[in-house]
Amino acid sequence: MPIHASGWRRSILPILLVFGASACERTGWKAQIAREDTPVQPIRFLHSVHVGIDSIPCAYCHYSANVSEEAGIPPVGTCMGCHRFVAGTTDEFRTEIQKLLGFAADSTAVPWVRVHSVPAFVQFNHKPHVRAGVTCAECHGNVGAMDEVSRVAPLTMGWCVTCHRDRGASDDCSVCHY
Amino acid sequence: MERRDFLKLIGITGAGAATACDAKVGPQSLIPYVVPPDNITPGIPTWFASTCRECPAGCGTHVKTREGRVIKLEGNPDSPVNRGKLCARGQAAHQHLYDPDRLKGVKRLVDGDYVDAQWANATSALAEELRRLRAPAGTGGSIVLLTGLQTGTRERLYDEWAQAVGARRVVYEAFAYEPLLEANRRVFGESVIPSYDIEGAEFVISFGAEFLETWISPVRYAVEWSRMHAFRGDDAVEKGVFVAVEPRLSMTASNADEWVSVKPGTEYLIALAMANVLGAGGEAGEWTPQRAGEATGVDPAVIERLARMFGERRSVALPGGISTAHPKATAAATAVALLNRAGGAVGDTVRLTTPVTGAVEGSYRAIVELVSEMQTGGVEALFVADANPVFTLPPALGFAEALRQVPLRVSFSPVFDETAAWCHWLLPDHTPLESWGDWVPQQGVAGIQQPAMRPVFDTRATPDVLLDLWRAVGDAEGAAVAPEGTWYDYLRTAWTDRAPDERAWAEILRTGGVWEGAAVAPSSGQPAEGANLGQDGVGAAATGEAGSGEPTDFAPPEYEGPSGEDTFALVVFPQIAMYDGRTANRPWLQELPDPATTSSWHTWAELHPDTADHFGLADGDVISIESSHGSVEAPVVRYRGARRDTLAMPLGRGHDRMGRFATGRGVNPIALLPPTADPDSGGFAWQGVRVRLARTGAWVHPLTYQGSDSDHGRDLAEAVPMAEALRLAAGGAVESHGEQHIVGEDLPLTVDRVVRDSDPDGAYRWGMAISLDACTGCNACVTACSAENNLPFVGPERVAKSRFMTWLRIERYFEEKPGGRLETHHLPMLCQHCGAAPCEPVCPVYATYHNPDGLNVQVYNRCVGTRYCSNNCPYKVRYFNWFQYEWPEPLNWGLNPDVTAREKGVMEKCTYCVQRINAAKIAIKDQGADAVIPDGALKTACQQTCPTDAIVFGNLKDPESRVARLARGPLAYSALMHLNTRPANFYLKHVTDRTGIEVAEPAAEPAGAH
Repeated sequence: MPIHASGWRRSILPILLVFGASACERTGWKAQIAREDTPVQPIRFLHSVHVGIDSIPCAYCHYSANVSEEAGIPPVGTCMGCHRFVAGTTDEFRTEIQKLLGFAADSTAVPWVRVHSVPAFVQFNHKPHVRAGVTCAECHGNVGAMDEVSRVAPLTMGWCVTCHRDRGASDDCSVCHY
Repeated sequence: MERRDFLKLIGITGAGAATACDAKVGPQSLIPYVVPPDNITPGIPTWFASTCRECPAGCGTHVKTREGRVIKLEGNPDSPVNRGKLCARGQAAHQHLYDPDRLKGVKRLVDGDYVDAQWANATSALAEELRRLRAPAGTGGSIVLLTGLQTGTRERLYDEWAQAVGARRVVYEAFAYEPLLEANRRVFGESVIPSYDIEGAEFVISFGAEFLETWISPVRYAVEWSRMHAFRGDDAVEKGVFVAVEPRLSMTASNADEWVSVKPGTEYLIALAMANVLGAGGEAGEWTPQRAGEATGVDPAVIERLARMFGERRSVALPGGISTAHPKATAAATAVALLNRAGGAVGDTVRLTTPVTGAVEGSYRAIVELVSEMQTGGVEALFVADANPVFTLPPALGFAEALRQVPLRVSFSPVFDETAAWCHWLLPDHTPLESWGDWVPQQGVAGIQQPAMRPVFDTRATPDVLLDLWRAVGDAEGAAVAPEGTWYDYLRTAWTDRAPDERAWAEILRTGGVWEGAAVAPSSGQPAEGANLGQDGVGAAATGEAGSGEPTDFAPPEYEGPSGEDTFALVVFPQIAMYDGRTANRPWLQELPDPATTSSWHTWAELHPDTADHFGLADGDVISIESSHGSVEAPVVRYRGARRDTLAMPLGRGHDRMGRFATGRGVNPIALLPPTADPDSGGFAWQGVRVRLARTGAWVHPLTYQGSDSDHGRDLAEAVPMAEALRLAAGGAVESHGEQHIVGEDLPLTVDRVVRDSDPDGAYRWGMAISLDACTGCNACVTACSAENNLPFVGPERVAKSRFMTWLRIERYFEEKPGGRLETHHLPMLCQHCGAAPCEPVCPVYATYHNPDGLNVQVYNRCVGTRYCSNNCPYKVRYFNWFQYEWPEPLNWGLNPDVTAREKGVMEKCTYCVQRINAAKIAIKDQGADAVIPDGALKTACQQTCPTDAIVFGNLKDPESRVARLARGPLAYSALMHLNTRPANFYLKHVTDRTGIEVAEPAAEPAGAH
């Protein structure tokens, strides 16, 4: 698969995990859902290797999913914990890992492209879902089998509410909309 | 076709249309940290203990940050000053941090234009100047460091710096309370502001002290006042009495059980006569109630009654504000001190051994001297920090003109204010939320101030700049040894005694300060027996100055200026949102309704309705107000709390610099004032002029939201006399409520009935109990709500159309009692979360509905903006987004990410802080799937900040919860109950007519006065 990383401007935006979603215009939220399911990432990070082969638990990198509304995107430092020693087994891998080393050397963040998002008027919180025993894969798919992560669930309200009803969770509007 | 299918089809079409603008939205980024900060977990707030610096009170704060940005301030419950509460100014403090008009870096004036400069260049250029100008050690020199009031380590650094570089310090604060210091020196021998124990008193009488608004430490006093005064019916113990003696019904006076309206400038004669009745003797002995009554226009019987109450109860008299700021201010404060002494309050409720911060001795005197020195060329360089004298001094003093004689002028102001506009160098300081520091609000109490986020702009802490200059200059001369390190190091060293190791320091940063002096036993501030106080007003025993002071002349001040039928005594007063004008560029505060008149965004002129009628003036008619020193134009607000012989104007607006929200809003009434001082203390005379009014013929739309002073018999704000309240609280039977309006419904509404409006299997039915007896109308809740719920500001044009967006508003009603006494009711009005909500059935798209917890929910993404709900709401608590309201960068950084920022075309209203409810529900499940949120663990933003605990939120389903107990209590009622909306908000009646307050005759005013 060809790798497209060059088109990215190195963003100096501040950390906008939450705020980033709030700027969209009135019709924007539908566009968010209709967006490309498998965006091209700045580094061809393979979940299939890290999760599928290396069996790293999700929460090792997505460190706050069980305590916070945000799952947490691993800082470059987390990647470097291993990649200070792991240089890659193929040329292709080595090329990608070199990009990571570049970010680490420049102390810049990797501008990952968001795959899963909900509109700004939806207040989604990871913590209660994790606590209720919803596995990561139920919403995010079996990322261990994916090279690049695709969105497999529609993330529409009907999809959310169906699961809430099946599990006996609240289907009150104000659980998510406020 | 079914409704659902129809909507689906519409949805598909919409999605198709939306896809077309996909490119506009673009991909979203997910930017991780490079190095994760230790104390930040994405999605979880991080709190920092700090100290509020919006006024000299020094309230402790907890600053809430999300992902490294400040989004909210709350009071620090451990702080003995504010005990977890904040006022409206404190709640809006981060609008200073995110002020879009802040100076974004260092600037230098070159050929009449400000150009960007570098910090390093600025420091070296200024160091060179200082080296050239510095005086030989000890000679005073021609360099002046002009600062506002400071305490603690920053004060020490300013002093040391000035000494080291050969500069002189001038401390200037607009509200410096010099007369209080001078009077206390004369009477008690101590030049201090004592701690006034309002909480411990049974009778509080204020002589112009707006202690619930701006005076000394308003949050502290509001907390204390509510504990002394608020009767909620949860026990049958009579509460204290509060009497206000003022020429204008301020917000503070509107909360008094009795407002004694007196001719401006003569308030203290009441105190003097009361002291006389209590046997003070001396000069007070000449002021009998009769004589004081003639001079003030107050019935002598009232004075005698008040004196008796003062003598019989544990009492405190508060001098301050507008009543101790005229040419006889020291005499006024002395009179009140004599009353405290005669009534036995000194050492009991007036504690001289634990003085509080807030006053500056010789503040105005020093600035007057500085002006004359600047005029004669005696000042070569002026550094200005934390003060804006060009705005707060009367133009007639000529500060701005004198300033232009100074060859080198440097401003440290974070904003481009009126004083900065005359400076050559602008070296913007951090705002307090970005700075290290400390503050000593009271002897023995020290609050720490720590940065809650990285600086927004390229600013530098002024102490760091001064240290750099010191090192640069010190090296050259080889004189003083400048301390190594940064301002933080300097501060840390200063705290070594209190924090010897890093562990203790971390504990101080966690708790917000050290409070060892907080709980002080009543002291003996009483001068020794035999001190001669009557003859010369000097605390002889305490100072040994017996007979050295001149006798205090208690004759009332002469008001200067024009006389005649169209002239009035001018009352200028500090307003709760604007203070001395420093907060003028915070849009929430500009839009905050004044508690008395509900006006915002402008400077108004208060006239009594009778006076206005006499001149044929309606609300909004612009009049010109002219004194011998200047004139301004302002629209009339007809206000029943004004006297017929006065015209009152608020301070703080009328900036011609500072930023987009402040510039050009209103006028500055200081322009009307002469540069007169009270000769005894040197304090500036804010009062003391008469003005002539003339109509201009212009009219502007009134910027007030209170449509009527009366609830027109709808019993929105109910009141009950204290005797009846006590009878009910003791278990007395409730009299019949009269006719029953609703067939099949029990009246009055019971808590049990309201609880039935929720899911019977659920654990919660949220509700509120709001005490009208505790509510002071201070509007802190309004700003807290704005900060928590991303409430936009709409600007004056839309306020004029009543399109303000505050989910919570304080309605103010007047009730005229027999005898002419004016009773004020403050009624917080917010969504009632009705069990039978009129808004719900009229929504065609089910955007508003009742949820299982009993909340009336508004779903923004369903709302299509028909506004039927708002039209059908009898409480008028729903607000429509007529426009896409803007948050100019970086004001939007302060938005709460847990709450949707609403957009144009959507209805919104109070949610009972549903984001907090949901967060608490998620958090409590850590303790088990069935765990229930305990009472008190969950607070709405308004409840959290309310200084008087007027708002109690909680679970009505829990019979032991505080809200349920209060709502079942004898004072509870429901607003517009007869409409059968079954509100979840219970109001607790205002308790009036307390023991000792008799129905007074209307205050006699001089015949022919207006």
